[in-house]
Amino acid sequence: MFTATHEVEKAHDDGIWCVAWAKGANLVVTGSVDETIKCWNGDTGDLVRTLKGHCLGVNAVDADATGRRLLSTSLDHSMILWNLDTGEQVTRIQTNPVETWGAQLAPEGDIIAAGSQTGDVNLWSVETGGKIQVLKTSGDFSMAIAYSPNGKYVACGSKAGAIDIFDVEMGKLIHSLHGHSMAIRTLAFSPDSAQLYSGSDDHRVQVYDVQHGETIATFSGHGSWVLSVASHGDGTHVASGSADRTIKLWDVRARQCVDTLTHHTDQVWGLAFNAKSNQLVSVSEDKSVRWYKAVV
Amino acid sequence: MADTIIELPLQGSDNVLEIDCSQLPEQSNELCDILIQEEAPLKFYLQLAVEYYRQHQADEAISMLKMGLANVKVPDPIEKVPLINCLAAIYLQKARRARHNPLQVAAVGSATTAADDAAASERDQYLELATALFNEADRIDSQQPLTWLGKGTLYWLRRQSDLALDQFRGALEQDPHNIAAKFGVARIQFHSKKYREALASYQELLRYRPAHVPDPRLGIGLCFYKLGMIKEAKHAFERAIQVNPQELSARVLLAIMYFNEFKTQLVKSGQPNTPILEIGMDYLKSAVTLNQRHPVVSDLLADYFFTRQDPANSLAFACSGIINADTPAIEAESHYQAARNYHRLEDYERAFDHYQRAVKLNATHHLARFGLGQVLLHRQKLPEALALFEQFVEMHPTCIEAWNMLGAIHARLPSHQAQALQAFDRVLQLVATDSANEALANDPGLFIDMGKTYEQTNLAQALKAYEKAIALYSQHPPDTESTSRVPVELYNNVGALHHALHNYDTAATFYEKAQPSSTAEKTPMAYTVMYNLARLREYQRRPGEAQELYRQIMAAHPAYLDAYLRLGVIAQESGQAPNAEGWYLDAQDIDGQAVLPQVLTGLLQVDRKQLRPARHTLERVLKDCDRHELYSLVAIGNIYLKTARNEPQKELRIKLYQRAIEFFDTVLGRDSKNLYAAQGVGIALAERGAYSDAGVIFNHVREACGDALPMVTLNLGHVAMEQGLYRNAIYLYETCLRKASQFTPSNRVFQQVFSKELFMSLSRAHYVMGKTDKNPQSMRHALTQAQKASALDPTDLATLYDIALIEQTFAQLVSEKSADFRSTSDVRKAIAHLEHSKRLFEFLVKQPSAPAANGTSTGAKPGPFAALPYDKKLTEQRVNFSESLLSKLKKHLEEQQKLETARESTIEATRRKREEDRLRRQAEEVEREQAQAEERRLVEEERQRLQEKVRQEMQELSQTAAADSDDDAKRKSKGKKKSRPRNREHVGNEDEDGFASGGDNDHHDDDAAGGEAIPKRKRTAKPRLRRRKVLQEGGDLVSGGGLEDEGDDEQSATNGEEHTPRKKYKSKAFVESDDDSS
Repeated sequence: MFTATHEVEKAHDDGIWCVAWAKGANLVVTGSVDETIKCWNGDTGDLVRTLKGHCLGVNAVDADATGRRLLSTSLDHSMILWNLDTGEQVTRIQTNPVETWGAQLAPEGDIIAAGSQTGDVNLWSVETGGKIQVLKTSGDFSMAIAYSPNGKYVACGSKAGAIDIFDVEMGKLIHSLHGHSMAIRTLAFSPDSAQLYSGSDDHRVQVYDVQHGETIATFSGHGSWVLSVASHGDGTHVASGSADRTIKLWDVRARQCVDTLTHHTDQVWGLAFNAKSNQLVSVSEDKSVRWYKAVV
Repeated sequence: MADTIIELPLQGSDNVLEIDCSQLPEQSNELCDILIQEEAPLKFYLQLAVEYYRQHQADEAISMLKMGLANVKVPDPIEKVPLINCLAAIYLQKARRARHNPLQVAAVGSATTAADDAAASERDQYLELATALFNEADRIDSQQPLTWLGKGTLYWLRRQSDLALDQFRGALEQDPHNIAAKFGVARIQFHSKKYREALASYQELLRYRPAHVPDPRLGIGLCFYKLGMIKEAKHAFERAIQVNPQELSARVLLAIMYFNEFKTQLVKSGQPNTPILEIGMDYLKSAVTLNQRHPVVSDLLADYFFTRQDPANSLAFACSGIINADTPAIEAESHYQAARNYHRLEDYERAFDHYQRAVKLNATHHLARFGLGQVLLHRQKLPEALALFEQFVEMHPTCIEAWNMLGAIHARLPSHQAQALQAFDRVLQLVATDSANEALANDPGLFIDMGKTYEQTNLAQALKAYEKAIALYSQHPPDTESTSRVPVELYNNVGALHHALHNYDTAATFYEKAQPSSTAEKTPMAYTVMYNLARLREYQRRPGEAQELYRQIMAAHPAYLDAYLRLGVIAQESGQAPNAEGWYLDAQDIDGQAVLPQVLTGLLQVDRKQLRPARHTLERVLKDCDRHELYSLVAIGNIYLKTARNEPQKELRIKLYQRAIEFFDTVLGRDSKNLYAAQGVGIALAERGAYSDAGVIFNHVREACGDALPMVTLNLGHVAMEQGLYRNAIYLYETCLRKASQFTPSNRVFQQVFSKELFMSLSRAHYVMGKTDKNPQSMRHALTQAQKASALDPTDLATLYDIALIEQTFAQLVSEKSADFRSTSDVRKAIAHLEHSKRLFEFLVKQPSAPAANGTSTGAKPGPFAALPYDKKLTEQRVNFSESLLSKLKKHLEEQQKLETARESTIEATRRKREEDRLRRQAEEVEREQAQAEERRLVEEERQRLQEKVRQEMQELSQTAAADSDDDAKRKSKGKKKSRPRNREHVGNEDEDGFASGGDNDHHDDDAAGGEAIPKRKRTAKPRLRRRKVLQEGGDLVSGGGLEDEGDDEQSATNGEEHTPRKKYKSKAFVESDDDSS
């Protein structure tokens, strides 16, 4: 169970689309349609820094395993790698339109996985800014991508509702899952990389066994699109945020909803846990960032 | 009687003719003939007539008496008097029985009143005959007590008790021991409620005739009873039975007394006292063995069987009671018994008749009156029922049930809400104030009634009433097992009300309470509750649980159609169209005639853009099932709208819109308040360009439905756009967006289906307004909204095109701004957007004509629009324009930087100048102060020396001081001066450059560039023209549905007004119908 602790009401000028908890720097990083990225003190919620560099809305932020590097992508179809300690741009990669969607950083911070209009997933080298590998998907546009914490897998979820899991090293598709009937908006791996969580426009959250490609659980309860999922550090819980304005916490083993948070007044676009998973942060179209802490 | 033998002396002999009365001939004529032949004296006629009468052959008796009176010649007519009296008495009897014609009972039903009238006139006829006879007897001998008795009875029957009393008293004066007269007097006293006098009369009778039949003890008992001396009354009746074991009335009366006692105790203490009931039953049983056909016995038995829920027996006894009743009160009771049985059997027709008869026979039969009111209410005769109960509460102002009924009736009458509330208030007041009502007030049924009434009008109030009922049920001590359990229906109702009031969690707890604890005892009701719970789970967004419940229901009741349909709707909502179709087909297999499965199939097809099959499906519903099925009619209307929208040929298009309107009109003819149909008409009008008419309709719909149809607000926004009311449109779109994000069940689907279109529409409105006002800030708003649309559907090319166009236009507006009203960072931003916009346009140019991303997608993008939602050539021109604009902006940037440097140095100079001024002023100040001090010092010195010159000196000094301060003010006013904008012409030149480069490829839409080319004077002279142009340019933006293709727009530049704007108006009927169908 989580309880709300504090919030920043007008954190951005407009809806907030994405959030990441950069663990090393202990920063909560938020990206908004107002074109800015803001870094907040993970504990106090004080604004630490505002990052400017995109000329359109920021639709994804993702930190590497160290929590000192941050990838941001925008509707301006550029990807920027930031040094979180200094707030400087490390690299900026300009791509073709629609080639940055759902971009995710490898845990090592060296590779970026991002979808493309053809549906294939491109792997970009951070160093050179060039494409190094193409993962051929089952065809449709990838709305959501996830890099596994062990760096071994990339999962992508399509507009049509299919999920493909790739073994990155082998560059090979290992599972194609068809549990959802509508667009996949969000994907996340469990900390041990053994499970994959997905959220879809069909209002459901699903849990898969990565190795065997089987569905472990299906959670219905949201009343609208599921826009974000975040995996809890204990490997048995997953949080989901929805266009129905609620956040739900699911117990994967018990296969049930254990908590519902209803503080936001518009759709919940993003969720992130801190390193210990005893804190949760959420961002919403209502322009606010909200912090919650675990209560036992 | 069998041994009665009448010996008739034969004329001229000693022989007698023995007439065996047990074998009287059926026709009295034979005997008459003999009597006439033998010239028998009158008394034989009388004797034989009495015998006939005893054997229930009253008609023969009458003819016997008539023969005697006609044929026998007597010396003194006084001998005739007994015969006349006898005949009159028989007529009286007949008059009394006139009501009890069994045929009449059987005919109860339609011809009731006719039968009643016939009976009444028959009765009057007999009474007239009797009256004539008594008058004749009076003429012969006015002092005949027998006649007086008869007349007394006659008046009694005519309900003229005073006259009757006179007659009986007259008879008593003649003969103080005339028992019959005494009885008559006693009876009249009793009936005129003079119980003490009646008691004395009966007691006197008892003294004369302790063994008289009927037993005066009965009268004594009744008087005691009426005087409240229950014990004495009982004793009197018991004694009557002792004296005459065959005594029936006493047993019946005792039975009634015990029954009443039982009821009173039950109401008072709530405890049934069974021994008392049993004593009563014993008396009743013994009465039955004596005479089954006694009317009061019949009534009691009818009552008994009624309580035992045995309507067949109860009705049989009630009918027997009606046939055998000898007083109106008893007959009324019998009718009442019959009525309540029919009432319970829901035969309201018959119940109504019997209640009505009961009330007619006994105006004070309150239960019958109450029942009559209930039946009136049930037959929707509200004014009659209202009148009845209003009268009722006037007579019984504390009758809770009557007030409750009154409330129920008011609640059903239009605009009687206040009276209904008043009545229910009165109920609650009575409950609260009068402890005697406590037993009644503890009847949960009352509150259930109240709740049912409020359900129509006020859910919260209904809920309160039901909750009170539940509380009352729960109050009952647990040992009375039949009443302590709250009925599941009640829990279900409360759950449903909470459900309707959106208190989902509370509703769930009540539904769960309504579920039986073990699965074994599942009644049909249990499945209804399960179904409700499943529906609730859907509202609670727990579709998994809902599906599980529906499956359980299906397992137990494979023909539970609604369960299939809901499973289908859930599947459809989560995007599993084939699955949904499967459920609907299953439902159709179960019941091919059911409308809903077919309608849902049709709506699903609409959802899947299979418009033609959808129309066929829905038309089949209209043809085979129900010609006026509203869902199908609305849906077909909407299908025509959609088809029309995609029809390129103008004439055909207009025809299709007409067809759509016809369908909506049919719906409105059936249901004038159908918002979906009204909205459909609005859409068809808007599509045909009748925007103000459409606006009127949409506004009506919006007023009528509040937030229930967010779609209509969107449509209103579209209309406002078409009318050029951009600010209004923005306001409407934003309202709509706010409503959509509020996420109530009714707009849940709306949010999902129309969010993107809303963002696109809002974006377009800001864009058009920004262009009109030349306001880059509006362009920024437009860009934000377009991005939001893009975030929902990132591969949508139409949205990408819009973003590029907005960015380019933003850059253009910034470049057109006078340098004083923008900053370097504005220009830099414009350049960034322009570069991105160029990249987007280049990307869009490269798209294949039938893009794979659109074609193979899930059906989110419709097939018919496989073509690109924008014009490639035009996009190329956009790319070129970007280039020219970019070089222009880069120049601007340089200039802007120079300008800003200059401006900064100007500001710096000004600042410096101001600083110098300030310092100079300070110095002057110091100087002046020093001067003044010096002067003061001089004055001081002068004052000491030249005392008388002081005043003059002072005046002079003050004049100098005033002059000084004027100087000061002048110096201060020498402030800052605004620098004039320096390069208007320069900007103009720049523009002409821009236009020249843009103008080559841009004969069509390149609005702003072209706009600038028009000399300023002309532009201001023709604002109207300009607005129209802008409006068309609005079509420039590819809107969410990707419907406006630019190609068309371009053509329209040459074709003039040919172009029909093709905004995408949508009706929510499809989307929402499943919610309503449930």
